[in-house]
Amino acid sequence: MNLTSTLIEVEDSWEAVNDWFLKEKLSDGLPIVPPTAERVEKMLSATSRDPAEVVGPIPPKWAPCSIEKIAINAVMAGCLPEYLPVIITAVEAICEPRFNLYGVQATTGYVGPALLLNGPIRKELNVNCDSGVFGPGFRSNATIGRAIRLILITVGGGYPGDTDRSTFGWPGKYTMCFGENQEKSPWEPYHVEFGFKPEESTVTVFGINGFLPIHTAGNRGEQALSSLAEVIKMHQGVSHLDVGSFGGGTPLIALGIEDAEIMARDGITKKQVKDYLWEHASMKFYDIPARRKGHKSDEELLRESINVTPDGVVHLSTKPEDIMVIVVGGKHRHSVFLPMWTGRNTLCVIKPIR
Amino acid sequence: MTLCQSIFMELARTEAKFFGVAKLPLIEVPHHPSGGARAGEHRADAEGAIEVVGEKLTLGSGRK
Repeated sequence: MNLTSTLIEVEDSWEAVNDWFLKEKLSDGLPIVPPTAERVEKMLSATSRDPAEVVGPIPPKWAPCSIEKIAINAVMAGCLPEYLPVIITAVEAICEPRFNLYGVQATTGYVGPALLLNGPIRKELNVNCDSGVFGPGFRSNATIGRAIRLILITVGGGYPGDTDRSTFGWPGKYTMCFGENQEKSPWEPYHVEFGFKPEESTVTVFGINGFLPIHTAGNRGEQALSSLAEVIKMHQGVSHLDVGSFGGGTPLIALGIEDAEIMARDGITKKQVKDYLWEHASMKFYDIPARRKGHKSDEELLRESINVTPDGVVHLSTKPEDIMVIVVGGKHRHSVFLPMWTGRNTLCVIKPIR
Repeated sequence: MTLCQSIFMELARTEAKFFGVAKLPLIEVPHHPSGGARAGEHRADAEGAIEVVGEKLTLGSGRK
C-alpha cells in the first residue's frame, strides 16, 4: 500500500513515541497507540476508499483530511479497523457547512462533536446504547469519539490555548460517541425519523457543550415532560441573554428508557414531546429581569434574536421539529439535556455509513 | 489587514501562517468580558484601532 504521510523516526519505545506526540502538540494528552505503517495499512484494509482521497479541510489549520490521515488517527485512538467507516462518515459530517466546524474548533465556548450511531452498526461494533451509555467501558464508544478529537487536533490544528480558544474545554471533548437504544425505545429510531430505513446505519454529529442530567418526577407522561421542560427552561434562562443568541440550533434531548416508556404508555408521541418542550421550555422575554439582559435595550436584544416570537416568547429552538429527541441508556428515571453551542451556531448533521 | 480581538490573536496568527500570509498585518482590539464593557469602551477601542489601521495602510508615514 502506498502511504504518503511523512515517516517520523523516533526511538523504538512506546514512551519515546508518546513523548514525541505530546511535545509536537499532536496528542489529546492520553497515551496514543504508535501509528506505524503496518498498523495504518491494517486500519485502511477496512475501507475500499483511496487513502489519498480528501474528505475535507479541517479548520482552523484548514489542512486536507485524507482517508489516510483518518486511519492514522484511528490507530492512535486505539480503534479496531472495522470502526474506520464510522469515523470517515463522521468526518464527512463535521465538514458540512451547517455544522460550522471552524466555530466549533475556535470558539471560547466549550463545544465538541458528539456522535450518535443508529442502525445495525451499533450491534456490529458493540456500541453501548444501554446502561452507562455516555461512558466509560466500551472500546467502540471510547475510541471512535477519541479518533475524531485527535483528527481535530492533529489535522485541524485545534490545540487548547493556541487556536482552540475554549475558556474551559469540557470532558466531552476527549470523546463522545454513543448509540440510540432503539431496541428499548417505544418510538421509531432517530434515523428513521429522517428518512433512513431501519436496516441502514447512520452517524449524526452534534456540537454539544454540556450535559444537564434531569431526574424526572411523576407517574404520568405529562409530569415527566413537565420536569424536563422546567429544568431546560432554567438552563436556557441563564444563557447569553446579553448577546442575543439564546434559543435556536438543534438541541438534543436524550430520554432515558423509563421516561420514554411512561410517555409512550400515556399516548405521547415523539412529535408531541417536541411540541411540548417547544411550548413549555420557553420564557417570556418581557418577564426576564432587566439585570439579566445586560446593558442592551429590549429593542436591541429582540432585533438580534431570531428565536423570539412576535408575542415575546423565547423558544428552545426556532421550530419544534428542530428539537432532537433520542432514547438512550438503562433503567431508572433519568434523562439528559445536551445543549448545543449557543443555539444556532451549529446544527446537527446526519449521514449514512457506507 | 485584519482586526482581531486580543483573545483570538493567537488563532489569527496561526491561521495567517497556514494560509501563507504570515506577515498579514493584524490589528489587536482589546478584549472585554463578553457583554461587560462599560459605556464608551467599545467606541474608544474602535477609535484606537482606526489610528493603527491608518498607520499600517500608510506604512506609518502618515503619522510622522
